[in-house]
Amino acid sequence: MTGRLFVLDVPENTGVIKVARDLPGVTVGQAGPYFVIESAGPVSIDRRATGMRHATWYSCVAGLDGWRIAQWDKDALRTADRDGRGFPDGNATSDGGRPLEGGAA
Amino acid sequence: MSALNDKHLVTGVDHVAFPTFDPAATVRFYRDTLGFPVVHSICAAGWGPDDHPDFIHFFFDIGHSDRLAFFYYFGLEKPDVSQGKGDVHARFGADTPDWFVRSRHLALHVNSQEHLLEYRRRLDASEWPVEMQIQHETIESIYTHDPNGYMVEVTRALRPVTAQEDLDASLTIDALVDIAGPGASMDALLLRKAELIAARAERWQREQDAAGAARPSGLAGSSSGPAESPAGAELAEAPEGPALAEAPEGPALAEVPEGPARS
Repeated sequence: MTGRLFVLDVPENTGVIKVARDLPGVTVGQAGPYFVIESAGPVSIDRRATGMRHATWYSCVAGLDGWRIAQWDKDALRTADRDGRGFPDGNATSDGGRPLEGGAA
Repeated sequence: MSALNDKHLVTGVDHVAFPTFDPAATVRFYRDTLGFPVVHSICAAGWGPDDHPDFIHFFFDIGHSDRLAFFYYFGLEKPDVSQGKGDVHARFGADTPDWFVRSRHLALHVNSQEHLLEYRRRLDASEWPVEMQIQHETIESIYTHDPNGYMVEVTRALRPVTAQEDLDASLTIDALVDIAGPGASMDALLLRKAELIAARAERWQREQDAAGAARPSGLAGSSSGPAESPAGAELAEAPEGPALAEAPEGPALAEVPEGPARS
């Protein structure tokens, strides 16, 4: 299902937005001072590609709609449908779309 | 209704008070090492319905006329701090996570890295050297523990807090109030916060625009091209200070406050 991640527009969050804009099938819109990362399928954003430090990385998500967060660690921020579906082939990913492990949210 | 009904009237911390069982070391730490002037003290005989000991209540100036105060009670036995974790006022079992023990601490503000490093220099030359220096998202801090075991942080901002961060803080707390309770989770908070963003963020931006406030960053409004960078954007990648520790895995200490890790 379509999901959205909200990210506050502050300088520290530019890395995640730049990476999200390059993901296939992903649009980055705005809702006031928030960026809205939106896609028909789950997304995966590679932390190293964003260039973000850990502390910044772990506080970059402001809101979640339609998805759950299936992975948010030093490697990636990965969403999944709330019904538990992971990553079918071809969904937006910045690191090759490894299959989800577990469902820690 | 009073004319003061909706006014934010307080002007800072008059004082925050802690007990001490070692006033000499406390004075060495705050007055002689950090250079905080002693600005007030009370020598009082115990009184009242309880068996209150005689005591000294003494105050250090921590800037802006705010004060850090201590109570020293004559004859009161110091708690056993040889086991477990914590300070002389709050003791925890050895299995208590450090992040919880450290969550309650005093953070003092300075205006520049030069000033932060001056306090680092003073501490490093003392009995209480800096234990950590960490750069969080928008702040840089040094940490040590005072002679009583209280964790003390000195912190500086890497950039000014922006208007949208104030909005974001309001939405976070409104969402937290809505979802807090048994079973609460980050997932529940982010879902609720997304609803609040959808309900309020556009209107907030229109109000900001009407007031002539600058748009947040150059990434916003891609159709109109890059906008002016916000003040302080260049500080987002501030150079690391001497002996800067990489933030450990997981939220560092309690600055998280500020989001999972925002102070």
